[in-house]
Amino acid sequence: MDVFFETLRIMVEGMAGIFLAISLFFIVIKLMIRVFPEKNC
Amino acid sequence: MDQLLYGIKALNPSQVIMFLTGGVLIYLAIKKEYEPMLLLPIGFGAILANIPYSSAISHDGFLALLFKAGILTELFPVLIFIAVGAMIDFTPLLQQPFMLFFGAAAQFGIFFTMAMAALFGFDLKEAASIGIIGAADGPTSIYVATKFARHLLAPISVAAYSYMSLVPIIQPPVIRLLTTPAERRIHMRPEFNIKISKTVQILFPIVITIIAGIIAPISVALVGSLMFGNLIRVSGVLDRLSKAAQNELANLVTLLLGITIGSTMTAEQFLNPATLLIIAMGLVAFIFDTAGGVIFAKILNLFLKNKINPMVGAAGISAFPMSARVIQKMAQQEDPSNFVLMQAVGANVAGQLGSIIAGGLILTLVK
Repeated sequence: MDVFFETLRIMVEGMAGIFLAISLFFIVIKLMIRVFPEKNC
Repeated sequence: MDQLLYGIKALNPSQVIMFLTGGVLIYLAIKKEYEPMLLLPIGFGAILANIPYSSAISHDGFLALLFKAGILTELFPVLIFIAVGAMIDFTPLLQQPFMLFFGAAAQFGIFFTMAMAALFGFDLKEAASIGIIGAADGPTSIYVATKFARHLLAPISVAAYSYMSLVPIIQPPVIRLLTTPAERRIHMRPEFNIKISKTVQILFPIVITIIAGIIAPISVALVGSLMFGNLIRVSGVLDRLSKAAQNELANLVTLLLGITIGSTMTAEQFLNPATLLIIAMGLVAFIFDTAGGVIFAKILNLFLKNKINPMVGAAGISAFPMSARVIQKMAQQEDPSNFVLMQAVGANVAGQLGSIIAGGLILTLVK
């Protein structure tokens, strides 16, 4: 059961990590689109 | 005479079963066209590996050499990622970056399956390798399994590629179970009038590599190779290299990867109860990936004014572009005037990113 509880910890940290990374990607994409709009290129 | 018969004398029933298993994979590849580029070489590799005293997998056999050079070094998955990166057009995702979150939610099956595998008695590293089948991404599964559970590489790879090809069969019932017809008929506001500048397209792979690398340094090989391939594609000055990555590199490495994975399917490693469990849990992973994406979209709909078609959430798995096509087909079955393909493609491309990040995080978190 120790391994099972360890997987639950990894599940929480893993999903949190994925959402953190994805949130950063989201912010960066939004920023890049604002800073470098199509018309300026 | 003995020299002519020593192969026949050494043949045992489990090897014959493996010939049949290889034959089934070849049949599925040719007759059903399930991931033929991989299942056919895997099937033939399995046959080569199970011939008694096979020189192909002896110490200096060509498959043994390919295994050492391409799998143990993780070179093949990384090269495949360069090719995949050169093939992917991230524009639908850049036009609707919100779809990124479905690429995150639909990785839930990885962690759920990992927990299930632990309950079935696998140790932590084995459980993590089994869970990563849910990345719906062959190279990531191979990469993680090579690092954590090399002895399970064959069943994990076969499960990953088989279920990827079975997405049109696996996803629809799960989606129907979790959504109402009214939800499946939701039309989404198109956001494709946004033009993405060349600068953004070029900066995207560089910035993503840096962010992902800082969060999970161990994922740099995976993310970096995918994004390198994409940078070649969008740079506009390496057209020849981009085409070479998409065609020659992809074809050559896929060919070698498939037959090398097949060569690990020896009877003694493959014919055991663990293989059946792994194949079953691969299915669990795909089901819970799909459920994770759909349920996440339904939760978001509680707060959003412009509702999301929850089926799009299911496209957040990495099986590209099959999952997006499945979602569009289902949407049109409910309402022929409903077009969610581009939204689904955005979520599907996000799934590629999400699965690699998930792979990197698993490698980071599992000690």
